Amino acid sequence: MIIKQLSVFIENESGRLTEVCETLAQADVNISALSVADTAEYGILRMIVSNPVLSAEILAAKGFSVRLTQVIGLIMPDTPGALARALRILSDAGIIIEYLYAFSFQGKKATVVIRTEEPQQAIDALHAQQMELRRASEFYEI
Amino acid sequence: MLIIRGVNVFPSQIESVLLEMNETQPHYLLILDRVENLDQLEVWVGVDQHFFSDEIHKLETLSAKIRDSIQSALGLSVRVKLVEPKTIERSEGKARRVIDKCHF
Repeated sequence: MIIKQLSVFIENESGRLTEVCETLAQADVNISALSVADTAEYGILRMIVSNPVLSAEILAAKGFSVRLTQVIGLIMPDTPGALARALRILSDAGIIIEYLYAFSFQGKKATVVIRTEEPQQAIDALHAQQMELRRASEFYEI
Repeated sequence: MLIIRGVNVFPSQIESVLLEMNETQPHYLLILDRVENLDQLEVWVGVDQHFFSDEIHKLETLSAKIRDSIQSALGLSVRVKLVEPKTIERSEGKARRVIDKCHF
């Protein structure tokens, strides 16, 4: 249930994001989800990709600072209140969310990528409330 | 040696501060500039694999820690900018640790 997310440190300069994407394209890596957290001077690119370990290696070889972080992918209906319900479960379980981003993947349901220091506890809390989670294998190429 | 707002600064002092911190590598570049008639020292620190965290608050905390450590070592306020390691390496190729924008 834990998904490896690829994070890349990029300076706020034109062409940086392009360079990362082109590098992944050359390695035939697919990006399923992407989010950029930006500050005045730099950004952190976070991605769910088809081959996180290979992607990290090739980006590191090109001089990028990369990291693989553990996230979970929560599946939810595309309806009002769905995210609120899920977040209530996590906050009641005392789980702190560092960040999250959402995307639509394979159909009408939305997926929310959630980063927390306690991914396993989050999974347990969500499963206890019959919430559906993405398996890492749904994103990775086997 | 640089003289910034009357304070003598040796790049090696900054290197020592970075070496003493567990989180960082001594990959840095000093940018000397003049902002509103005041010399300003900007320290660019390369974010390498070891200390890259994908959480912004951790990077900001580290950046503030570097700034405070350099300030207390030099007695001079500096600006710290986190950059990609490649940015520093490109400059190292030319064996330059200091870029002086005031005295070209």
